[in-house]
Amino acid sequence: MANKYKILLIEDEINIVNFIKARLEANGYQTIYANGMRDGLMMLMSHCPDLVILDLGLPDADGMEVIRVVRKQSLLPIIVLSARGGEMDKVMALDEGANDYITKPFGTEELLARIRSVFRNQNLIQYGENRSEQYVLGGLQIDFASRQVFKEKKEVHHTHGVQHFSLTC
Amino acid sequence: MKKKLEKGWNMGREIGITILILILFFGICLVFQQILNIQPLIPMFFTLAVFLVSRFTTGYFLGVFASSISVLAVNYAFTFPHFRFNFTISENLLSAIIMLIVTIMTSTMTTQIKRHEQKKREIETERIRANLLRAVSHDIRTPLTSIYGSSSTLLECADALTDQKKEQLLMGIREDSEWLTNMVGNLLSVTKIEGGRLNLQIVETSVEELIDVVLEKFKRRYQDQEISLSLPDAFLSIKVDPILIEQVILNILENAVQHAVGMQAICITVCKFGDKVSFEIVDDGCGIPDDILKRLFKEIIEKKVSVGGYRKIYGQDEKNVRPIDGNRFNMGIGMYVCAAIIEAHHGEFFAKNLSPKGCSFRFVL
Repeated sequence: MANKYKILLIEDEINIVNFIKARLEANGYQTIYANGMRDGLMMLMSHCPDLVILDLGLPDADGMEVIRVVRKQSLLPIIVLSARGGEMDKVMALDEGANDYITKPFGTEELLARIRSVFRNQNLIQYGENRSEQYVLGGLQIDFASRQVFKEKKEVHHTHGVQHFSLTC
Repeated sequence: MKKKLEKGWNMGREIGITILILILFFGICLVFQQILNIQPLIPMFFTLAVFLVSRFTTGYFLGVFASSISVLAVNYAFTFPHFRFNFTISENLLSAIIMLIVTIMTSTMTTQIKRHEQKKREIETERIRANLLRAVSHDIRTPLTSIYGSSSTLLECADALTDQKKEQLLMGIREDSEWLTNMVGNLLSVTKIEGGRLNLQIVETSVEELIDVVLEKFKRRYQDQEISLSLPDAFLSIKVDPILIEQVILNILENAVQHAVGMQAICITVCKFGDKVSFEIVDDGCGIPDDILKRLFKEIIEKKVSVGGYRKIYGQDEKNVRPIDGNRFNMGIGMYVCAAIIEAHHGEFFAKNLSPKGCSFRFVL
């Protein structure tokens, strides 16, 4: 079993949460969700997701605030989902540190493609440009895409993200 | 056709005002001259008359007309020789010129004020409309996203979903479609409102039937909410636009369900109120904050649920405009529309908080 990417969805419209969650899970991502900024930041601390999908219109705060708080601490990828379609809205969100911006309504295929793209870029940044999808050193083999680690062709189980693993070994 | 008629009516009214003022002041002057024998004040009176005419009529024509009449009147009746025209007195010419100046200046000022007011009103209407459109287009996007996403998820990866998940998604689609339908209904009422006026289709309606229809629609949307009813025994009928009044009641009920925190019971009371009918909808929720209550019927108000506060979707200046997503704003558009509908029926609309809790909406038709 591959160690799934964990995605945190911060969105207050339960119907939108439902379909995104269903779609992401069908595509092999682990999904958790929060319905506001406060819960979202709490989940962020406790679950350490690999990606945040963020709605800008939250009931307890503006989504921009979430981007600012997250960016103070980490480079965690953020994809913004918003009904605000103005150019300035996009510019502001991207300049604050969002990795991508999708306007509502959007197609789910597009969302999935953008998630893949963000993960791809994230891996590039973390492991350098020359890195292939696999890293092989002697008997050790790390598959970044499926997040699996093999030692002498046998899978090694690990709980944390591969980036963490690569630091420890 | 209607506009032409209205214009003619306005014109007639202005002519009437002019004649009335002139006759009134002529009368006063006659009294002063004949009985009290005070001569010097008379031109002043006519100046005042001319000023009033110019102030309360549009354009220059009636003002100029009134000033010429005044000059003639002063000449004819109030200067020596009495009741005869005499155009050789230079005093007369002077007073005529002064009156003309007063007329023209007042008329110009009046026209400018009116133009200014109209422009202000137009800007205000335009702003409200633009904000409404902005809010609506945002509000429509959210349910559309959910419908689009849910249906494509169902179509494209049905195999990966459990039956429960599928049902959840389908329910979401239905809920959001209903919400959109409701929104369109409200929007249609808004477009019917033009400058505070509404095109009504007045029909003799039975109150009982009206309430029945409302309850049926309400039950379809909120199965669990009980509503207690108190109707008079006698048969009541009113002349209203039933569809719009239904929407008013429905909007109030919906507000109670969605925004009154801690609400358990809703009660509708209908009773005869003189020769009118009073409708009252009472809930026992959290009530309405005072500052909102004051402008409830005047502006479009949006509510942010978790902060516990409401905010306007537009501020006094553009800097205060905040992004308008976050929560759907049924409430604002609803109450604004309700107030307009009741006003168009020449009814009265009240909202107040009750102690210890809850609030009451009442309208009399």
